[in-house]
Amino acid sequence: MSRRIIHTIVLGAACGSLAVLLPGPVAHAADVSAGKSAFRNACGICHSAEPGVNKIGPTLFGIMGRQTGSVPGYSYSAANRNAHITWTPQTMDKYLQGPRAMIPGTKMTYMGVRDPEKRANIIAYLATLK
Amino acid sequence: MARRIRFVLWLLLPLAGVALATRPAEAIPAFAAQTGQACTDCHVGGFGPELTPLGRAFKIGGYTQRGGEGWASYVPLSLMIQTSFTNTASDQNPPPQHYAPNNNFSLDQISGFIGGGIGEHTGGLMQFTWTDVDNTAHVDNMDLRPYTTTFNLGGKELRIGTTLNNAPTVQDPYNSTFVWGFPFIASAIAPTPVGNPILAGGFTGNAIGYTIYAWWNNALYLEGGAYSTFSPWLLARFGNDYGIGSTTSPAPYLRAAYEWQWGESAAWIGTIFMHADVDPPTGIPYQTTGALGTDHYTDYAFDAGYQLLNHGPHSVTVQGIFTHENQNLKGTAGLTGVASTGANLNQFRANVSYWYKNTYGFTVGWQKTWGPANAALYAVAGVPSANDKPDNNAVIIEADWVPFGKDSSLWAPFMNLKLGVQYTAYTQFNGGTSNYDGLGTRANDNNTLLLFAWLIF
Repeated sequence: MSRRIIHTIVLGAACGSLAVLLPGPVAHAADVSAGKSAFRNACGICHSAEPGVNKIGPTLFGIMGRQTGSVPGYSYSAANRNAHITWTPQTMDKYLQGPRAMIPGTKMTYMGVRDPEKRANIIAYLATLK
Repeated sequence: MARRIRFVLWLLLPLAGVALATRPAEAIPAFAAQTGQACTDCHVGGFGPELTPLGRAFKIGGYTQRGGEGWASYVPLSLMIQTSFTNTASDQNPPPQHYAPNNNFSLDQISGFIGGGIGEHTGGLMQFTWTDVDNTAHVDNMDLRPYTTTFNLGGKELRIGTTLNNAPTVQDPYNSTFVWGFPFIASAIAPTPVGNPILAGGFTGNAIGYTIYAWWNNALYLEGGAYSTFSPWLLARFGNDYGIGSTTSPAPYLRAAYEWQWGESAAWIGTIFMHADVDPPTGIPYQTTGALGTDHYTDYAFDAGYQLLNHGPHSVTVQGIFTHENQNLKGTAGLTGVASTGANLNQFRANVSYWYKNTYGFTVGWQKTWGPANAALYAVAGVPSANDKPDNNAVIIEADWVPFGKDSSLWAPFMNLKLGVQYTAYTQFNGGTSNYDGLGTRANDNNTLLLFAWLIF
């Protein structure tokens, strides 16, 4: 019995350490399916998840690891072109909290996603677009 | 008989004028709460109804976008109040019913809205309005989107959708057209010219439109459908009446537009076609007749616009529409006892707006209508046109202040306010410049100063 408890504690500590080491908005377990739904509802009016399909905003296919203002064929604001930010879970999380707070002058007028869990889900879905 | 009909038409004309002059808003905070967007994101000047590219996408998308958070994002209700002060260059004779000959304060509209999306494919907007000007309530703008969805076509997105609406162009995404065109507000008390194409109000609130639309690559917009007038029973319950008459067959409506977006600019060109065969109204509420013939109207409209929206301090928009209408008015000619049945009408509307920080706006608009003498429509008693012509020419200047509507505004996104002053100067009115009614009245006697407050939450 005590061995099982010790085993559980060790496993929990290991998982906790791994969670600390992993990058990204990790306070919530990300749900890709929920993120896809949130993307369709909140982002899909301006952004496509398909490669090469720009709408009011640029395609978000391959967004993770990409630099701001770099999708071919999309007319970016000078603010986005000159931001020189690489999209990672962390930078995306900050951006989605308030796009214009992070990149003043961006054409993206969305007020932001306040719910950390929803942001995490969207980011998890965006990471699958590759 | 004909004399009695003329008299009833004379009595009804001021009401028709009120209906045409009163323009409601579409910028409802329920949409802002649902989408998580500030008013400025979807509306030029941070206040409806003029749409930005994102606003157009939201409307074409069936009002279904949902990015807002919290319980308020699921409450599809808004309330709007319009109140104003109207001064005309000369006293009105006779004075507007319930009002003084000049310098009137009025509660123009209190409107309730139900608007928003249900799931990913269905949404809509319905407006119910009560006006103190004539103390009536009615179903105002209705734009329902029963179903819309997207496909991939040629590597680009194709959106297909359906609409049920109650006025031609109420469903249109471009503010160069009629229902949501400039001026966005007008005095409900001041006289307005009578000559207008049917697209500009002939079926507003008295018909059901059923259309299908396609939007490809955020650029090509195609729409087709038809309009049929409501039954007298429905009209009575909706608080509206027939405009140019009751349709004898579905009136076809076609719309095409193409939009370019580059940098911080957007531009579009478009065209509208509509044809209607109607039995004209007899002058008795909810009654039309084809006993003496049917009226036929065919409208061809061409519109265009440009927007510079940099979400910085400066925004500029330019838009215009030209409409040519062919008329064959056998029914109305028979009812009014005149011989001529054929005529046409031309109208041009344009406006230029500048906004500073989506807060301070200045707009200049121009409206010109012209056409040959038309005894069937403009010779009837009560239509003050001595030469039976529809000609009018007006310049409208408006200055606005929108202190709210931004994402950092007080109570955003649940409240918005526009305060404005508008001046309309006429150089032609109902066919003439001076003595246009045969009673010595000049066109510029109708010049109108409007001070207004427009609150929505």
